[in-house]
Amino acid sequence: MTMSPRLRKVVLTTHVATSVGWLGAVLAYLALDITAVTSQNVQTVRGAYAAMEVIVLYAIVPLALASVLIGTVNALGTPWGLFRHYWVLVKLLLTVFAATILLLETQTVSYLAQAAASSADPRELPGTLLHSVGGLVVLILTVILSVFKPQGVTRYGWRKQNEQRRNKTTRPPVLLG
Amino acid sequence: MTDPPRSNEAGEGVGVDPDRGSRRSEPPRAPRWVKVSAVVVGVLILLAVILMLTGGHGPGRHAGATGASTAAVDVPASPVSGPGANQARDGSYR
Repeated sequence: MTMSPRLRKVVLTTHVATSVGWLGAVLAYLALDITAVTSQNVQTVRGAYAAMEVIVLYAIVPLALASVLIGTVNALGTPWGLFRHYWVLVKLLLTVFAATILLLETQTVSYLAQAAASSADPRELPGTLLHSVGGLVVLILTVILSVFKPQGVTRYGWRKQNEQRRNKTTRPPVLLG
Repeated sequence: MTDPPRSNEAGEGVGVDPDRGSRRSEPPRAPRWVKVSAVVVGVLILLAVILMLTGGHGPGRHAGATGASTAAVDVPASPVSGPGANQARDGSYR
C-alpha cells in the first residue's frame, strides 16, 4: 500500500513532529531529573519529581506512542516499507524498545513523585538518570538513522525488490500516442 | 524517511554486485554497521541482565530501596545508592 504524495507528506510531518517532540520532552525530563538528584533544596527536589511525573504522563508517553504508531504507518505507506531496509528495521526496534522501557518506568516515576511529596527528605530518592540518559541516547540514534539512512537491504526487502523487477519485466509495454 | 529509496543502491548488502552491476542470485549479507550494532546491543543486554541479577537495577529497585509502599510513603531508612543519588544532610529542610 503506497500513500498519495499529499497524504504521505501529512503523515511524515506528523511523524517528525511527534518524534522531535518526544526528544524535546525527554530533554526537559532529563533537566528535571538532574535537578532532582543534585539539588540540595528539598522544595526544589520535590517540585522536580512532581514535574517529572507530569511530563512523563502527559508529554513523553503520548508522544512516544504517537511516534511509534505514525512512524509505522509512514513506513508501510512508502516504498521504504517496515522490514525491507535495515535502517528502518533497526529504528523500529529502537523506538519500540524505548517505548516499552518508558511504559515500565512510568510507574516508577509516579512512585518517586509520590515519595518525594510525602517524605521528609526527598533528596535521598535515587532519581531515574540511567533511564533518561539511555532514552536520550536511543532517540538520538534514531535521528541519526533517519537522516543518514545507511545502506543495507534485508532478505525480505531483497525478495520484494526481485518480485518488483520481475513484475516490471513481464508487464507488457504501454503504447503511447 | 523524507527521501524515497535510492534507486541505484549498489555495494554491500543491497543485492547488486558493485563490480559488475548485475543482480546477485543469493540474498545480500547484513552490512557491517548492522553487525557492529548487534554486538553492541548484545553486550548492553548482557550488562543489563547482570545488573538485574545482582540487584543493582530493575523495576523493583526504587521501591525496595526506600522500603516504602505506594500507599504510605515513609522516609527512606538509609541513603539510597543510585546514579547521582543525593546524600541525606541531617534530614533537615533548607
